[in-house]
Amino acid sequence: MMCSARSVVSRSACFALVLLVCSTRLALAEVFVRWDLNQVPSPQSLGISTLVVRGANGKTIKAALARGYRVYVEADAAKPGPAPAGASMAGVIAPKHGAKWPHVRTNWVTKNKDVLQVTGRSSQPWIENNAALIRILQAGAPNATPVVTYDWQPITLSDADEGPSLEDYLVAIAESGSFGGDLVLPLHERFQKRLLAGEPDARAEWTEIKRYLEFYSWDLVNRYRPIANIGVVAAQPMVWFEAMNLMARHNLPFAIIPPDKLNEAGLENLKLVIVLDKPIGQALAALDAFGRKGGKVRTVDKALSDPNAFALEMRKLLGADDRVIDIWNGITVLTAPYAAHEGGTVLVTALNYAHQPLPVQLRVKGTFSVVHYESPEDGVSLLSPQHRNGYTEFVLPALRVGGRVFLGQTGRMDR
Amino acid sequence: MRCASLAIFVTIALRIANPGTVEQGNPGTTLSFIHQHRYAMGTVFDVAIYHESRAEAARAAGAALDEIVRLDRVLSNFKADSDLADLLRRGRTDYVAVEPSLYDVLREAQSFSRLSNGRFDVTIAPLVGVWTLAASNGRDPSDADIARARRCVGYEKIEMAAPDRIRLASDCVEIDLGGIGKGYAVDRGIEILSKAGIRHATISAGGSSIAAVGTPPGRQGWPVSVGTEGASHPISLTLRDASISTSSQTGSSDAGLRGPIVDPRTAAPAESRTTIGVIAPRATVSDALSTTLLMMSREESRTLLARFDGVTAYWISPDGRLESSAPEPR
Repeated sequence: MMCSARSVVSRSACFALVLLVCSTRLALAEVFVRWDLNQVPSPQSLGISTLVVRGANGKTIKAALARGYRVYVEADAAKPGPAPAGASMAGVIAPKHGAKWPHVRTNWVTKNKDVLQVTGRSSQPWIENNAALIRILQAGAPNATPVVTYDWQPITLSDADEGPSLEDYLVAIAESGSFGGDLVLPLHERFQKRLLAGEPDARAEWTEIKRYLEFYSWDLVNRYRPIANIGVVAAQPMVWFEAMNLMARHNLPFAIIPPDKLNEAGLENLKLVIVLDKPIGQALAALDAFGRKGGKVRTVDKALSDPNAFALEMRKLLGADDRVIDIWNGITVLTAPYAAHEGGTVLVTALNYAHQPLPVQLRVKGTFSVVHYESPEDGVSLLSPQHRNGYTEFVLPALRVGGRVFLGQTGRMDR
Repeated sequence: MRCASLAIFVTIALRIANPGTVEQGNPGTTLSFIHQHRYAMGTVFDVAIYHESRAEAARAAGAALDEIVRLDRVLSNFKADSDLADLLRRGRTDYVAVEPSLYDVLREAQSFSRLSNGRFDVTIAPLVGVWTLAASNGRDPSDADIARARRCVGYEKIEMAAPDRIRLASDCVEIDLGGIGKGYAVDRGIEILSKAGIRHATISAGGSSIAAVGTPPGRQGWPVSVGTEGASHPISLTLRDASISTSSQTGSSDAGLRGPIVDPRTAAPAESRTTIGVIAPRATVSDALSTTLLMMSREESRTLLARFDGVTAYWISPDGRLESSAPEPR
């Protein structure tokens, strides 16, 4: 959640203002860079005009304002501190908890610079991602864009010394831009120091990061709505987080439906409804009607012991002919399909968490004559689609980190 | 033979390929630590190095991982533009020259097939496909389906002419290097590290094959825990100048409940519930053998193991009991 504010004079006033104006904030889906050091580089050197600074960092806030940045203060409940009186700030950001720095998890256990390897059958890489969390937060507050942030947790021991790699930053930015959440992106202290010192390598990495910031500074949330033909009926979605996390992992887009909001009209475009928290009354009747019309219903009565097996079961239950999207050769890729609010354009965002060029074959429901692909590395290109059984198939030639595909008809493509 | 309950923490120091004294490094020298990882062959490869120069270690790790990713592009049976896919397209009518690594790994695979009397077979894919399809429909495949698939299986259908030419003597033979490719890639990575002067390193292919060069500073070897489902205590090993690979028929429903490893002799999924660990001087050997032993009785396994130098196998039963092919310590 992020709220606009003209003047913030105290922490309590700040939070009061958050509560007052947050409902009026326009959803955008942005990545905000957080700066922590007291010394702040100029907006010209970073090429951005907005910074987020933790509320406790009064000196940094002053320095950033003095440099001419629009400054958002990140509310930090754990370490509250007074914001400078009279300072003009753009607003306050209160990120949600529970997000993780996205990455492909290795199977190594490392502790105190010792390496313990675990041998066993190699299995599908586990991807730490925030796709499900963002969908859950969106369902909880449909009129606001969820804001998340996370601390850096080293993926390898080398990372503990060095901080996030360039690719770790790019994946974080691309994830936020792909799934439609706001992100407060923390820059590692060592990277901030290198930027301040003007180190050429740091400057080069920052240029790449900025390219991603620009690529994903687009109005996804206001122009597109997520496509899903699986409905998940849940009163408390976070209780069922792992089930939804694994569904997102297997590229099964879903929409969360609170049991008390379940009605026949809301189920019209769905093929499968997963009932995690049982509805009652009219809602139950709507579910029965959905089943009578041929919709598939899967009711879960108890906690899931194997959410991965459950997600795979749901994929199978949905069936090959009803999947919104299928991926081949993209075991480390997560996608998100969207439909334009106006016109018939379908948008698919793709994110390769392994951050290395990968040819990825996609199959998207619908017959589209134009497939337009763009990525930060390769710019814009037209892909050659093939049409089979009501699906459009195409190959992303080398998805390094993030990219997006617009599917439409000749002469009617709306980006 | 040695049997032990997994409740007892078993530590085995391995001195197979290079049983010299343990290197401790020069007194006063601090070794930098580098750990890099990259996705290839459907899993994550990890490289860890201790070395005097951090920059040299990082370059070597990057070069090793580059080679592994390159090998994925050569050996993949999922990628339509891989060298293997090209062989399967063009190699059914006449001999074709193939990429040297592809020839090399197929030559090794043929060798394991001969030594194991065909139990290790990289052409098993049509039978796996039949069982996978049937499992997705909740049934076993028909005899006719199996017979049709069987016609396409047989390592002798891959005809090789040194130094780099291959012909496929079948219109339907397929090649899946899943039982050897990761081990081969690990060996190539280790080779690159060694050539770069790295003396303390390990490479892991998603845990299924792990190879070690030297030891971490001040230790007897690289600690490796052999993971088994349901075991309350893992087996702990230390690995030095050797590799370990693990295979099991459990833990995946990719090919139905009975598992993804199909025995060419029976044309059915291997019935084993045992986890096999094989330690060998090279990961190519440990990888291929761990898959093969899963289809063999203990007696057959020991006969096969006797054909290799410096190889030890471990059988870990679902209830956590450990059996080793190594002789009892005196």
